Amino acid sequence: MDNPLVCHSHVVDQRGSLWEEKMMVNRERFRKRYDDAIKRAVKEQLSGKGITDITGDGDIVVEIDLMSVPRLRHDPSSAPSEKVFPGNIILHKGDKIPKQGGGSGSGKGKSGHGQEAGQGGGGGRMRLPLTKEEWIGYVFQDLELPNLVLKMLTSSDELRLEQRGFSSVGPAHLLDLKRTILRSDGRLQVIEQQIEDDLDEERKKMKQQEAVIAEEEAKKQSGSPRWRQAQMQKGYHLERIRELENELGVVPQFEKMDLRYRHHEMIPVPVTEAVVFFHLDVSGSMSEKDKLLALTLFRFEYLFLTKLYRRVHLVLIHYHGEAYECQSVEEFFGTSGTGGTEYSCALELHQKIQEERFPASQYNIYVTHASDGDNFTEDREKTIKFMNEVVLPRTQYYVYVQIGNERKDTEFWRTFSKLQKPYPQLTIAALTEPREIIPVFRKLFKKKGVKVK
Amino acid sequence: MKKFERPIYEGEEWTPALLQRFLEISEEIAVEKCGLDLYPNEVKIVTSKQMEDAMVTGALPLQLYHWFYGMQSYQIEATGSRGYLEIVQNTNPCQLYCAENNTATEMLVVIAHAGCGHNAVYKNNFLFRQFTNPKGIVDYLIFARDFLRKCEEKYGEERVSDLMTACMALGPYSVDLIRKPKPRSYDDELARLQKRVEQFERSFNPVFHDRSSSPLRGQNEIEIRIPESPDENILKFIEKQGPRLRVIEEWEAEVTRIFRKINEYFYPHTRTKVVHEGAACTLQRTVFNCLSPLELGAVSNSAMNNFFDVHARVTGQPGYRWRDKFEGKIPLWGINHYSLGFQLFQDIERICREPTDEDRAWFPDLIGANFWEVFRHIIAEHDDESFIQTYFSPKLIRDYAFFALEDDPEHDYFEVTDIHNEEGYRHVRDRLAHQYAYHAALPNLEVASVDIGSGCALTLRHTQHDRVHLDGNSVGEFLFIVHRNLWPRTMRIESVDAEGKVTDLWIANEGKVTNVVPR
Repeated sequence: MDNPLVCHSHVVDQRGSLWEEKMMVNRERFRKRYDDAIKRAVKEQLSGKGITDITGDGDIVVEIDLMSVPRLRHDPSSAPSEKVFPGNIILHKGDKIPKQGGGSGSGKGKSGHGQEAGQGGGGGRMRLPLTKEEWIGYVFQDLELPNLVLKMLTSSDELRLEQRGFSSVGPAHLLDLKRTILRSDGRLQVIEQQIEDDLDEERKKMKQQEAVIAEEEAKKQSGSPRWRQAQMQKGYHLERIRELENELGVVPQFEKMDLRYRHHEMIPVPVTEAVVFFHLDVSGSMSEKDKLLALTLFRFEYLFLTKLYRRVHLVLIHYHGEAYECQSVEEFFGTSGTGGTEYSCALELHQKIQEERFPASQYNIYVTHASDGDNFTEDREKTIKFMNEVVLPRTQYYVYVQIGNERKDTEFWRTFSKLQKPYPQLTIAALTEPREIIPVFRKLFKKKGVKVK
Repeated sequence: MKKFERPIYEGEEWTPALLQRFLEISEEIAVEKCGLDLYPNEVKIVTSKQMEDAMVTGALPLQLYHWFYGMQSYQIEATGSRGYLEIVQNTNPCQLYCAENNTATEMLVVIAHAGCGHNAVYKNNFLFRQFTNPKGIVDYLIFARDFLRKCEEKYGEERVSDLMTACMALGPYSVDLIRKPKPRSYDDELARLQKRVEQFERSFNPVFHDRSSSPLRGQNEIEIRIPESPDENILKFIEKQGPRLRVIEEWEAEVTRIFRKINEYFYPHTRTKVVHEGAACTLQRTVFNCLSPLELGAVSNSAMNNFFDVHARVTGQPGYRWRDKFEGKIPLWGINHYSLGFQLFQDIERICREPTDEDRAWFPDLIGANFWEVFRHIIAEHDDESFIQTYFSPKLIRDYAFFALEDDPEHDYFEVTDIHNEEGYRHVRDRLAHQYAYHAALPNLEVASVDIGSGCALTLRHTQHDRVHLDGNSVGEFLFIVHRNLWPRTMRIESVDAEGKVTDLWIANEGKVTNVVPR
């Protein structure tokens, strides 16, 4: 040990250090980059083409930026190559091996094989299939229903799992070790004490018999009936002691009665309820294109609402000269009407439904109204009256979307502009092109304090 | 050394004290018996989670912040880290990470394997001596990480991480194959950076500073060639010429320098896989042989059994002396570096001690030589290619039953070009050595020219060897990322055949890569 080097070498125990946090930074960065890439791709996809084709079944494929460091590679199919392998058994120079099934995996053409499968051409893109739920999640990020307030805490069909005490049956992963061991310890103590008490008893009895035997033997009467009986008794006690001693050794550590599982119960969760009225103008002045636009917007909103708020009721009203309530989404999205436009009849129906089924004290009320802006001039007074007295005071958020034109001089635009002052929950937007749907939609439902580009 | 009275451990439980004791014993064997020159060792016991983290950067002692490492971390977590016993780093003192879930024997094998074997190669091998700076690497990486963090604050995280990605892509082309870099410390680096900044401020010229104008504009008629001759160190070329031509800024050049240093650190590793693992496995075998009950008696018989189990797992090679399981399918196994290196050294030891007539004919220099002298010579002076080329014996090719197979894309069969017989020995040996050459799988790329007249267009030239072309997809991705982050002017990659004719041309301009069919 005269080597000076040896004393410099040493062993360090690093297990307790704060090392782990370093990698979290990089993991976080990777997750963020991956997420951003998908978000960007979804956005690009939305601005690129119409969104009506997302309602089909199946996964939606987005192209995201490549998540790796590119490396320059040779093309293995461009020229012959030669490689050395171990373990030759029967081959001779000049033998030919057919390429199919010739190798067991690690053979030729392996360079970049896995990567190529997932790549598109050009500047490093990767095709990534998203399920519709994931896709919608990315589209609706940072959006919410505005002004949602807790109104009535009655509805209770939403339940949440909560731990409530312990039970003696349950799945293995919920086993509570500490409690189980505590119980088993208690049980062991009791049982072992019992056995030891019995043992003491038996030993005492055996001693008595031994005393009898000794007494008899002292009298030189080893064959007497008393002696024989005492011998028999002693044998019996001895056997019993052995039994008990054995028992003491084999008391099981755990028995079924010891097991304690964490018990979970379904606890009702108070929820806020919301109802959304869709008003759709289906009069003759709405062209097919306009109606499709409005329907797409509704469909989007519908997806958004059903995705984020499970307890949202929908009321679908379409109107021209008269107003109807549609019973199903399909009916609402599939109908068209003719004739003039009178919005007041829709509002009348709205009031009736709302008062009967959705008292304002219990529900958050939202209205989305799509129209091309035309309405009978004679209907204006009535509309304003309804809006002022019934609809707006009870509504959290009223969205008016003008479809097909951006004119500021339409009947509705002028009417609603005036109403915006006393009622800030009234919002107006115009929608003319399919590609504007997402921007308009994001503007309408952006989260408070979140900047949306 | 004295014989031990009783084994130093029983069972498979270990304590830090045992490891310390074993470290001292095995270093003593390595120094006294094998005559090796070692760095002091620093054995670190880490949890398996810490081990996974260390695996992400491999032999690099410090982690930089980049999403790529995060991605690898997820991949390692998914595939599991079982089977990795240790990680060793080329630092002084030599840092050795051992996972806590190793058994006692595994721990001791690791200490002998890495603490003596890898350590000796790090300290003595010419490549490591020339390209790495074990004393200063940790210092430098701390400097680099601080610098990158400051850049992130100033220029945004995304810009810096994209730049880092581009530098990583250029990794294989960032080593000076001829000149030797000088080692520097943290303070040297700071002073150098300071100097660079001052120089930049002194030479600041608002006209040239405008990125859109070239400083040499107006001198179109004068023929200026940059570089003077083709330069294989592309990253260094960009670092030096980029700021001069106002293509990239000083801080960007500094980032490329960081990655050049990191790649210089890794470069010797890629060229000495067989030498490294061969030396390490030989050392572990030697140390345990010395300690076995037959010699010093420091380990018990059962520990020796466990050692052989670990040793066989590490140096196993399917196909090695293995002939009986043939089921109508030709198996194509990859080569285990551990096995190849270990068997090479074993074979050299055999030739030194008990040569056959064949060995006398092939390796006259080795006959009767001291094995450990030969060993020290090899780990100091050879890389994989020259090691195999020089010492691969005819007996070894028979043991492994190596055969060479040609894959011609135009045929639907592989052709056996040579097998393990007298006629094929030389060819198979040369092919095997070539397989381990640094440039075997790496496309040969170098800086051909910068066109100063027309906005500093950079041309990289790929020279085709054996008619092997570039993979078009990979060129597109590669060029895209390098162009966008490191050379935001026109950039071209031309592929040149043996006659000097350009057969393929890719042009990156304003963020778009196009493949042009040359005239």
